[in-house]
Amino acid sequence: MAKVVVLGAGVSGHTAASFLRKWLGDGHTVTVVSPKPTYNWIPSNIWVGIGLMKPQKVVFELAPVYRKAGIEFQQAKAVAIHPEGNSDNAQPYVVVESTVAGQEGKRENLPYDYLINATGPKLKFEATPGLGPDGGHSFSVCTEGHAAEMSHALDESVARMRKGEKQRFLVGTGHGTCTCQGAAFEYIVNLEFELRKRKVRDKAEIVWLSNEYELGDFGMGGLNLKYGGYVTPSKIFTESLFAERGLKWITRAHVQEVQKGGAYYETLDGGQHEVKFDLAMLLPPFSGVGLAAFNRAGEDITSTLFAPNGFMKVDADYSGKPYEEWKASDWPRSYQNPTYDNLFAVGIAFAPPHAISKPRKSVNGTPINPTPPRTGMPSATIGKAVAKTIVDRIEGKNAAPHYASMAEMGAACVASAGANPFTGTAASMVVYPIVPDWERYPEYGRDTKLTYGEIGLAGHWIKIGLHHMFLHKAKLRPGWSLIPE
Amino acid sequence: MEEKKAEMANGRVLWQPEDEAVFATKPTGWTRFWRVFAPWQAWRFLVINLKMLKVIWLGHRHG
Repeated sequence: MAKVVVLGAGVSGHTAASFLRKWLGDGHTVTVVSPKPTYNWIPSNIWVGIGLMKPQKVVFELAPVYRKAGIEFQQAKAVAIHPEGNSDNAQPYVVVESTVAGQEGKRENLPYDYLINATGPKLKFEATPGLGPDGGHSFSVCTEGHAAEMSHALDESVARMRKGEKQRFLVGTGHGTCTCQGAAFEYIVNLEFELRKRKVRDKAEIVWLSNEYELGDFGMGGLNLKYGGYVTPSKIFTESLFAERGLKWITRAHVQEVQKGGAYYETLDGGQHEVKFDLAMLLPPFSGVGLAAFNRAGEDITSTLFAPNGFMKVDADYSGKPYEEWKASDWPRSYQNPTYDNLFAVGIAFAPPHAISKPRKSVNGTPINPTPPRTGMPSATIGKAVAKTIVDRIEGKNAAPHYASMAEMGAACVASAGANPFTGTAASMVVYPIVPDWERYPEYGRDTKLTYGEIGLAGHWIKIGLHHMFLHKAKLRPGWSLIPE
Repeated sequence: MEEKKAEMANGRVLWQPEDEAVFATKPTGWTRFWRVFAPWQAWRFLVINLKMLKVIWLGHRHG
């Protein structure tokens, strides 16, 4: 009888746990540890932040779903991993700390035979003074709660505009090393659409502020699409959409500080600037959640298991080689920790070997480049592949691990650009592979026959379909496993 | 202008909106029409889904 513990119930952890339970016999246990009692379908937080959806529509209680599926659930946060056990017992275990009301801080050792770290990111608002909704001067849509706060603030701004006041909205990334530009992109175009719908667009100035070198980078170094007889960079399409919607943009920026009504930022050329705002939605940078690790003797081995940014090391090339030498093969395939082969990290929790976008520093030495996205479709695909590997091991199959390299898989992304069943639009993008492979595709790094994008109403219909389909899948309702990741 | 001067004296330059959009391509009315013309978009719905399914299949073949 094997014990599999999954830390985290986001897209990748939840997918891994669901498939483990489906494929493993009843004699084995699957336990999910998550600090929150709910699952959040994060892509739809954008619509909560605009006020189009209630937070309850993007979350559901995990405990009843897991109870029905036969998955054990523990509402707690993981604190430390002991992959060799301790001096008394060689059984590996993870220390978890309860987050249940009334039992906060209560610790427990959870033994495991296989451990999947799917803890996702720590939202590192503290990296930029004044950033974020908790004591800061900006909002976010990273959680359903943050998105709801943003929506209330937006309502207040709209009320002011209806009284004739002008408002400047600032949307983008709150630090030079942020990721998730795609989410901020969705927010800004949805905001513009919503302000038009509420008939106050003429009172609003909407400004984009990001760490991208060019618009349309999205943390993937941009992409090239065949369109109208040309292979065209995503910068052209994104600038076109921004120009069409009357959005202004600032790129190559590292936000140094957010104050009430103003953001101070440094640009790649070393310039120091300020942009004033009435309402800001700025995403934070991410780090690992701060798990520690100890060997059997109780010595700290955190730096063996984790990269300095707190994400877990897996089968990637962490040699730190220069950009010119980056290869697709640097990226992990099995997501297995190199020191402990029963330890895996999936989704945002694994340490990427390097960025995808070209690394850049300002003349003052400040890094200003997006970190790689590892959310949504690739996260789920990775979770499923790791679940397969573990099932094979438990069943005694002497098989190679299952692979899900981001340099060998594509991603389909639908970025909402306005929500309405008749007049809404969304940018539908397909990119293959996610991490450019310059050896296979020397000219653009990606397959231009598969990499594709267009904007239109069809994309919005797909986006609505995905919202319902993925919530159906996450709730493990009939046929859930037939829905692709 | 006075505010901008004061900011510059502090080493901070107050951002002023530039007209970047002048250099960007913009869709014509015809393009915008096709983007929301339901019969055409129903066809695009099928095409985009097929393109996405192909990439999803390619991503799962190693798993």
